Amino acid sequence: MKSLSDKEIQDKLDAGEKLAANQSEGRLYKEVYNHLNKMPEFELSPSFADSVVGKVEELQTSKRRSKDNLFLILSTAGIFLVSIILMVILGVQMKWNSLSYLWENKLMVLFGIVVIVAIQFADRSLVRYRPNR
Amino acid sequence: MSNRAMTEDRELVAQILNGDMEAFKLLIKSNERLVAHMVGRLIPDHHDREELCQDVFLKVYQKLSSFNFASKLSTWIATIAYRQSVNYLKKKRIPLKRTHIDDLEGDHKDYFVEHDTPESAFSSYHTREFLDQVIDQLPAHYKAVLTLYHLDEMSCSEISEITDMPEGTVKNYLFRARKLLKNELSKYIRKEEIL
Repeated sequence: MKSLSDKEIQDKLDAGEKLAANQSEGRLYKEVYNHLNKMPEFELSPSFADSVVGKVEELQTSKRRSKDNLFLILSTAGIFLVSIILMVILGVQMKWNSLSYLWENKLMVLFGIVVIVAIQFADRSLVRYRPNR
Repeated sequence: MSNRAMTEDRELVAQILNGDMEAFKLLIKSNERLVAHMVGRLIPDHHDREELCQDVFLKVYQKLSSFNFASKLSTWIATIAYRQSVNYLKKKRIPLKRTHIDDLEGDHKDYFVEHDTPESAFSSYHTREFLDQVIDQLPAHYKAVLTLYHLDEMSCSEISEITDMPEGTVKNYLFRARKLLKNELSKYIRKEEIL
């Protein structure tokens, strides 16, 4: 019986046709095909979909947060800019010695800064804390 | 592509774009095997595989609004998985083409082992291990084509779309890779018999 070429054997196996029992090349090919049709060892964890969804939600939250931060920065800068423009237009004269009040009460100012920092810290570590991050 | 599958894809994509995370979970679950096959075959580092699969689905989510339904959703996802894997290999400076693939035209005699006895079952286990090693050494494009054709049962035209290679090249890679595996298996069995 005429032995088949590699191309012919592969075409037959791709078409799902059976090969003659004496086709030793064909049997080697069958072994290769059987192996290729089997799953590789790597498998994803059962919670894979959940962790991807978690990552997507995390990304969305951080995107929203950066948008909020940007809005905050831009609005602060805007207010600052508008204030300067108004001061120039209205000819407001700054009296720097009026700020001496802050220096005279520096302990109170320091206390205020510490309170703000403590609130920020508590917010980040307790309120917005995410154990999986 | 059937109209029903197309409608299902459209509905699923619309739900996801409306912010339905359960729909996205469904998309992941129905395509995770496809992505795992591709990444599992192409990426040698076991530790990076799951993370890369996650990156593939994150990319899918980010780019979903640009999906134009010109192909099946699964074909589009496979394209992203393939590109992400190739980019990973390039980033890690892992050569895409590395093998003794040029030895394809070797002359091999016919040998085959029947697996009827426990000894031959043992030998079969080693044969599988051996074939895995040979597949690992194949160039990335060959592995991708083999995986998409045999594991994901995709047609050569779909593989051509995913890998951006001409259909003739896909067919050629498929033929050469399987012939190489057959030749290597033949050599291996001959060596085992001599020992």
